[in-house]
Amino acid sequence: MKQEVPASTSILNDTSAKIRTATLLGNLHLKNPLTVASGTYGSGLQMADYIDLNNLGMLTTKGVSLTPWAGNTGIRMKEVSSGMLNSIGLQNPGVETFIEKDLIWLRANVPDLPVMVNVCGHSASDYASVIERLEDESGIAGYEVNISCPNVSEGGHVFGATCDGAAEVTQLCREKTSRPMTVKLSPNVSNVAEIARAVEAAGADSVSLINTLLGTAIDIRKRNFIFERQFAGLSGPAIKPVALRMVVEVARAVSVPVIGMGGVRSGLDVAEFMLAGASVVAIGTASFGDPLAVERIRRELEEFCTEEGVQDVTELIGAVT
Amino acid sequence: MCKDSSKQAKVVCEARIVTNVAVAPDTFSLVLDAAELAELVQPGQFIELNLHQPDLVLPRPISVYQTHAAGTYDDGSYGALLELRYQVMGEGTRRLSTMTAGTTLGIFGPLGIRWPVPEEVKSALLVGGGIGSAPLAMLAQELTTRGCEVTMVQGGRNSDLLIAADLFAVTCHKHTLATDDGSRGFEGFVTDPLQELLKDNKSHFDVAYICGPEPMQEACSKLCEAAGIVTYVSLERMMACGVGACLTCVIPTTEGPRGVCCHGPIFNSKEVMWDEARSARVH
Ligand SMILES: Cc1cc2nc3c(=O)[nH]c(=O)nc-3n(C[C@H](O)[C@H](O)[C@H](O)COP(=O)(O)OP(=O)(O)OC[C@H]3O[C@@H](n4cnc5c(N)ncnc54)[C@H](O)[C@@H]3O)c2cc1C
Ligand SMILES: Cc1cc2nc3c(=O)[nH]c(=O)nc-3n(C[C@H](O)[C@H](O)[C@H](O)COP(=O)(O)O)c2cc1C
Ligand code: FES
Repeated sequence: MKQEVPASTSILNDTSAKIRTATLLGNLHLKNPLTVASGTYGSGLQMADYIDLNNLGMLTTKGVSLTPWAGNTGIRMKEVSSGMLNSIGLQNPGVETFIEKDLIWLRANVPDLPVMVNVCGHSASDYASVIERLEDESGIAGYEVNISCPNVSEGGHVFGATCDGAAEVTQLCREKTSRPMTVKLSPNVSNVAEIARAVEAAGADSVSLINTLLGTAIDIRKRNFIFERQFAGLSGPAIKPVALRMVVEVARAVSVPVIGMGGVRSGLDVAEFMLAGASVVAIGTASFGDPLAVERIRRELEEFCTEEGVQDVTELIGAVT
Repeated sequence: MCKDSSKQAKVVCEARIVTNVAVAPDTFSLVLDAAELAELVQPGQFIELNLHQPDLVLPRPISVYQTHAAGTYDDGSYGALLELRYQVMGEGTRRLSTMTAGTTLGIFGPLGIRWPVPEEVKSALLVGGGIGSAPLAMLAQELTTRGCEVTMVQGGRNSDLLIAADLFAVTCHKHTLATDDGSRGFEGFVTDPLQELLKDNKSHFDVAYICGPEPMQEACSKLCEAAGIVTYVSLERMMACGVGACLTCVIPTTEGPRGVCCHGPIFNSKEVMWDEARSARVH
């Protein structure tokens, strides 16, 4: 499970800390194991007034589809104890606008930051078309194929729920690109390891998990659902134990690297996900309360490593016994 | 959502509570020691407050009521201060109301756009409902300083809930009050005195600014628009990030979907598609 990081990447290490934070995601060199969870950080530029994006190991964008998607109507969010439910519905302006506005901004402002573009579609061929369109564009480190969004009727979770559906999308996307490609898995299945094996066999270079857990909330006085689509996606610390268990299951089942996420809010949580088997850890909901969360979490991870005598963060990957 | 990173500098910091006192039933004045942010904030903008409660994962968006220049305040000496007015609505604001001076909150901002003020403004109409009067206070002060004549129509459920009525009485040239129960001013909604005002002065106001419950904003903006006045409203939606990154707070407008946190919270009322926006109202 543990991966070797070439010595040449050591210059990427934060010089203020003695801990080696550089990590590999397949053949992608990241200066630290932290990224942001898709949909919680826009395309990065919305956060740039607050944080130096170059401090991220990698940026993961909001889902991008072939044509503009309007997203869901009605209430889109409800806070719950230690978490939140969202029903955004993958609203995005489509791949052309993404290229014109977001990608151009990223290229101009953070040329050295690895950018993972999260891709979504209504049909399997939609996903492949988005990737095909992005292939000619520079400034993209890889793709995260989202087959696990619970908030849309077509696409999303529909593909992530079965091995065949997951493999079909993965394979079609694989045919379009040789860039690193991760497939984002749904926790709303009975056997996540099986799906992970299917996407690995279909050509995924890595897998990421978990997307949000399906949940709901009811207005008890009006006796109706809070959300127009009735069910919504749960994120935040409430889902961390489930996410961690699934990362363990998947890391044991596949040999490609794992991007772990779900309720991470501290450097200690990152260490826990890495011990569970994650090579890279994504921070989502935690950024809402504090736009600087990723920076704080990276510092905390380094402090933890110092305390534990860990000189290289990659030592943690899969080291749970 | 918001494509261009704004030109305004942003601050993320820990801010100490200077005072947090009840000023009306379930309504508090919160003064924060946050000089850097206080110096940046413009009328109509808001901040996010992280209450540092582990089980409440989201920050609370609250508009800035006033800023206080560096100097002494409540027997202490400080840099510039930020004052908010908030009402206890749920668990977060309830816990906030129990916090005492010296407690630290995480804050970031300034967020959203400010109330737009036309270059040649001579006469402005402000309409505030309930706690919605608070985000109009800085604007009233700014307009008055610029020599603009300010008329404020303020409503509340009862006389206790005419938020900051003292400030508006001093700042505005004309101050009209309405209460649901008639305990002070007109008995009824703000729309009644507003209609009166607009009847007498068809083209008197250059611009109108409205803040309060959404049905009130919708009704009042229609009256102002009918009188030919350029009208701005300040909307609320559930928010997660507050900075345009998560698309939780999107409303339909004639210009396409817009983020309340970043394109708003202030909108030209003509752009708001009230009917389509209704299903995601917070109240
Ligand atoms: C731009 C903006 C400016 C605001 N300015 C003020 C102000 O100056 N004074 C004031 O008293 N209130 C203001 N509010 C409303 C205030 O944010 C809510 O009353 C507050 O978040 C309620 O939190 P709670 O934990 O007490 O309620 P809960 O219902 O327990 O909150 C649960 C979740 O819902 C969100 N939420 C609940 N009500 C609202 C609401 N009306 N708008 C947006 N999110 C909501 C909370 O932020 C939290 O995420 C403003 C809202 C917005 C969007
Ligand atoms: C508001 C919101 C929007 C999201 N949008 C996307 C998305 O567009 N694509 C995607 O793959 N996951 C999306 N997610 C899921 C997150 O990327 C992540 O998998 C999940 O929130 C768990 O991590 P967390 O608990 O740290 O937030 C979204 C989550 C939230 C809260
Ligand atoms: S986009 Fe996140 S709250 Fe507005």
